[in-house]
Amino acid sequence: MDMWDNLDAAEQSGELFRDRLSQTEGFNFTKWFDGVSRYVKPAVLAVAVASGATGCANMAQQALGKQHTPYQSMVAEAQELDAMPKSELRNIIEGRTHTNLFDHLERKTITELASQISQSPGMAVNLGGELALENPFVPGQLIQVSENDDWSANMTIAFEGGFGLANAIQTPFYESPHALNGNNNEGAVSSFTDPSKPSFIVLPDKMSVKWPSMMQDKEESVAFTLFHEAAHPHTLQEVALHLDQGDDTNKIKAHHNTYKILNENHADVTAAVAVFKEYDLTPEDFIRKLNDLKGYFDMTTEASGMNGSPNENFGPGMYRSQKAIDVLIEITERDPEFLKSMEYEEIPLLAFDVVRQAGYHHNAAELILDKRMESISAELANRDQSKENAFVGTLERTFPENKNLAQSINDLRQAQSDLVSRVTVEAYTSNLAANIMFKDQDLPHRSINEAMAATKKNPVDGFDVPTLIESHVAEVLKRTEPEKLFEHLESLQTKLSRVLQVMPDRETIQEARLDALADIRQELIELNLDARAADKSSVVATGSAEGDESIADKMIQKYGIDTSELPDRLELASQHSSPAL
Amino acid sequence: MSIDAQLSNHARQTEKVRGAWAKALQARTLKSLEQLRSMAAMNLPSERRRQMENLIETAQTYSVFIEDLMGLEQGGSIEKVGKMLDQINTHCNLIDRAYHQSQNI
Repeated sequence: MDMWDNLDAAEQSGELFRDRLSQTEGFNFTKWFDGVSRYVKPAVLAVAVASGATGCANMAQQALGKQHTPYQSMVAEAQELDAMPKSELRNIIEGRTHTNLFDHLERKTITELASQISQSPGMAVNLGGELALENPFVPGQLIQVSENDDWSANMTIAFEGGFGLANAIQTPFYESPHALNGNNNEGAVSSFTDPSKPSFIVLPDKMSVKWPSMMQDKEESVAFTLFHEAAHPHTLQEVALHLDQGDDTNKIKAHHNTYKILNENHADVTAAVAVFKEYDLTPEDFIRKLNDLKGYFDMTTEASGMNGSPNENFGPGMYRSQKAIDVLIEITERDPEFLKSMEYEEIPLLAFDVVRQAGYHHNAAELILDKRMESISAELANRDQSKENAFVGTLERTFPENKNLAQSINDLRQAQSDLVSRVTVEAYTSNLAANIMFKDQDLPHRSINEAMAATKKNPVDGFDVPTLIESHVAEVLKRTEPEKLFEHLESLQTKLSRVLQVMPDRETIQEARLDALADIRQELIELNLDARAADKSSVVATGSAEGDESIADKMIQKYGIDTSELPDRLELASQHSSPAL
Repeated sequence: MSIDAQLSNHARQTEKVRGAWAKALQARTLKSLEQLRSMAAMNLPSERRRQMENLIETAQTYSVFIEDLMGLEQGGSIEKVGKMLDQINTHCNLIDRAYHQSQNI
């Protein structure tokens, strides 16, 4: 929205306010409003406020009863997520966009903020107002960070986050750092369908070092806390979505407590890996710190009576938080650089598998990694597809008649769809191989669902992949004998390998995709040139000092698509690099 | 702490908070009034001048409304007027954005 739009909206909301005042019948608000008694305290307002008021104690009671121990709030959240159709949840996650609500605030990265706080006496937070924190796990997302007694910020949280007054009144009395996820806050279920709702982190007056071996590294400790909080808004829905796809789901539903533990563990594991990467710790130092992290309060949930096979070890009593740490240590011992080499975006995805598989199934690093790495690229391919779909959707709406553009858009869609099919089937095949190799009966349900969904949406020539998978899984689920199970998995693996041979390989697809994007970029440049030539006084011709190429790049980048590889792809592009002005 | 103690503790805090809340909203509203005045002083198209006057008047009304709310001695809930406060807050955000945009023209 430009300046005038904002002013128009403010004017409209002013009119609404007047309406609301004048429509409050029986209280004579209109008279009050008209300024007759502008500076006289209106008794009528006092009546309006007092009558039907719940009273403060009541409000607090409601708040306490409804949501306000962190545990109760987690339970409510888990129930709310459970009740939601998973397809809807997936749509929300895929369609998630970020508002520029916090664009006007000063931007900080986690390390900048951690450095600032750790250097202030007594680790006082002293933000001096709201900040926009860049969420390293969600590119493009800004999280508002504020102090708990910052009333101006609390108001934004209450209103923009949709949390309501009662919640914001609670906020100043939380003494620990916490994250509030506007995408999912109890008492504002409607916000769930509004993926653009912002997220918030609220900090206490001062921070403390909670991870003991970090006494000497206050900045790392503060950064750990901030990474932990930044992981929450990213993952609540994702966690809920994944929980519905494994065989441990029903157990988790019965024990919402576990949901909280899982969430906190997930944020801890994500934060630990992020600190390792960000501060370039030595593997030895990281392992030493991880061993200390086992004593961290979220990590001490330990099973009381382990017995039987891993498949029987479900439920809160069987969940072992510390196993996640063991897995991180094992990964680092095997490959000291592996965790550091992950993109920030990928860390929460790996962390989720670590806490779930290690915690419930007590799986070791080898198994988790084997199953995981392929799935990460599948998830990222899905995310790229959503971004590009948003982009070409806008293009189609804006230039419905442009034939060149329509052709390139088709090419891009085809390439994306090929890529998503390919990587999800690869991920599933590789997960199957891990199951077979380690004789692991914990089927990769999530991977199965993804492969089916992707190949349904993006069919493979000559193969009905979804039916193939479906019939095999049905067969597998009927059998209880392990040997039969693995026989079936092997036969499915063989068939899927054949499917993969038919599909175009990744390089070919990637080439096609980049070519299509480069064609689109070129067409955007042409459109800009045409507009400039058609009307010398138009905004295009006079409004911007930028070249046509950088305008085209900006349009593409706005959708989060990387344009760095595009300019070299078309010789045509270079002919227009210095357009006549 | 017992639930009763928590509740009465809460009631006290909520009472205190209500004041802090209203003060913060008042500060925001006054800030938006300043921003509007500063924008009004710019070289505006004539149809926008009227709008600016209108907005300034609205902001003053908001300010008076909050002032009155703060003066209430009854321990009434501000939830009753929550939507109205919400609108005031939205107004402040919109003006703040418009103000920053006007500085970048």
